[in-house]
This record gives sequence, structure tokens and C-alpha cells, in this order.
Amino acid sequence: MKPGAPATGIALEGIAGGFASPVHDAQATFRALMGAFAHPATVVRIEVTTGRPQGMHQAMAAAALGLLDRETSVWLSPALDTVDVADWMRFHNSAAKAANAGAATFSFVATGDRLPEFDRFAHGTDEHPERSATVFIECESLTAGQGFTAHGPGIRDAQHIAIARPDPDLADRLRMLSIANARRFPTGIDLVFTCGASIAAVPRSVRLDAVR
Amino acid sequence: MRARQRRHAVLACSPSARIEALWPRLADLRPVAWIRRPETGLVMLAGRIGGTGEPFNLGEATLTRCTVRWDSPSGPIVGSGHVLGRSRRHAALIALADCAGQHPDWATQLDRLVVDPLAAELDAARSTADREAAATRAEFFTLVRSE
Repeated sequence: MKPGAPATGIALEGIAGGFASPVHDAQATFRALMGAFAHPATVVRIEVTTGRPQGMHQAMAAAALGLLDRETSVWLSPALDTVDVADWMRFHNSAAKAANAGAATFSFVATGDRLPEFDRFAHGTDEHPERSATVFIECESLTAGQGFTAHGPGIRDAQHIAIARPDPDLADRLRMLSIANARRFPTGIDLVFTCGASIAAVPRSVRLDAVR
Repeated sequence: MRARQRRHAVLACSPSARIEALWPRLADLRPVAWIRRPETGLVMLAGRIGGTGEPFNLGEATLTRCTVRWDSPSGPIVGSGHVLGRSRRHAALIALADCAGQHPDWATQLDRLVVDPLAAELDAARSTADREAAATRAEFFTLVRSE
């Protein structure tokens, strides 16, 4: 920061807490996320307790606390796009909101919001495929709902997962994203489905097919 | 606001053992919740020097900070503590004191029982140091050369 730069205020009264045990909880969260990406479409629990702002569930809040920092930017779906959530991320992680969805490193989508158009997010460039978005999507359930079969690296034959979201076109949207990700590999968008304390990662290398 | 700054300055400069020695004279602040547990990091120290007074970065210093929420009888109050060094307990004590200082009933108690005595101790220590330094003063003056 430039010397003498002014700091802008955050209303602290409403700020939720962070990790109960910052070091161990951050490590446990990162370990769980690594495991989830190593075993795509497998439901993994993040067993940590965190304070969290209104509208964010445990696993999504833990992931935000564990992953965000001052060099990452955030896009929030309309239901999460509140002063509470933005201030909470700024206070605990120094993470700022991105100017638009395309500039965001991490995006968070609430259950009540429709899935955003995935084309809006950055998918990286061939020189820098890591400059892509990771989208966290809160779901009503990861054990019931629309069934999917996942294929790809990290999956021996096929992995089954069920995702319950209010989007009527969920199956089509995820299939289209799988096709787009496969076509533009190594660039692409990584998804993490969250539900309460559970997460399931669907990295760009994985293909999702809806079970009819 | 000046009162709050003064409390922060006095408490951050006082040894935490002294704050703890005076603290029991205040009643307990309960319930208190961590918003940011004490954590140690680096801060850039900015200074101003020279004719134009442009700020510049002097260097980094170790700092411990902490934020707590006190659910006081008259509503939640959030307090922060910042202290040079790595004393987590010192930062937590300052954060608690910051909470008390924002409550109208408690602020006077805090000032009377904790902050004012500590400020007096700091002043005494400072004036002792000033006196000792003043004793070593060397006067330089130029003799007028006679032609």
C-alpha cells in the first residue's frame, strides 16, 4: 500500500467471526478442498466451525476464509451480494469485490439465485490457464436431486453425484459447461458444489452427464 | 474520538502486566466473542521527513491485532486492539478496553481505574528519561572571532 493511503471504514458491529481456530481450521479446509479436487464429484465434508455472514453456509464460508486474500477478487450472486458478506470478506481476508463477474477469481452463488451464465466468468488463457474462475455453488442437497455421472482424471470408472438446485435447466447448463471446458482445455472453469458442511468439486477436466 | 485514541496510545505503550494488574478493578465484561482472534503480522511504518513532508515507508514492524465483540447490556460493541510486538494477550486486553471505552457508563470507570494511572506512569517514565537525557546536554556555540 502506498504510504498515507486512506483506509475505508467497515461497520464492525455486524461483522461475523472467522475460523474458531485460524491455523488449524484453515489447514483442515485447504486439505478438504485438495481432497475434493483430487476425487472429483465425491462429497467431502469440511469439519470446521466458523462464524459466517447471513446467507452463507458452513462449507462455503470456510472455503472463502481459507482461499481468499488481498490478491483475489470475488463475485457474489445477488442474494449474497450484501454489505454483510462483502465486509466480512474484506475484514477477514482483505478480499475485494471484483468489478464484474469476468474479473473475479472466486465466485459464490446462493441456493436462491439462478445459476449465472458461465460464459461471464474468466476461463484463463492458454499462457495462463490458472487465471480462471472457481465458482462455488450452494445446493439444496448433494445426495438427492438430479443425478449426474462424472468421468475424467481422478475417477476410475464413473462417479455418481446428485445435485438439487432450483434451476430447471441444471442438467443442460452443466452439460454445456462440460462440453465447453473440454473444448478449450487447459483453460476452463472449476466448480465446487456446496451444501451445508459438504462440498463436491467438479474441476474443468471432468465431464458431467445427466442421468435420465 | 480523541479520548479513544488516547486510550489506545496509553494501553499500547504500557506493559501488559500493568494493564492486567489494574484490570481486576473493572468488573467482568461478559459475554465476549472473538471476531478476529489475536494474530501477528507485519505493518508498514510510514514516516514524513524533509522539506516537502512527503510520506515515505520507513520499514516493517511486527504487530499483533485482535477484534472482539462485547454483547453489552445496551447492545453489541466491537473493539479492536493493536500493539507492536507479538503479545497476543496484550492485544486482546486492548480490544476489551476499547469495548469498555465505547460504553458511556464504562468509559469513565476505565479511564479512572486503568487508563489515567497508566498515563501517569508513562508520563513519569518519560520525564525521567527526559531529565536523564537533558543532564547530558552539551551546549555548542560559536565564539565571535576578534579581528
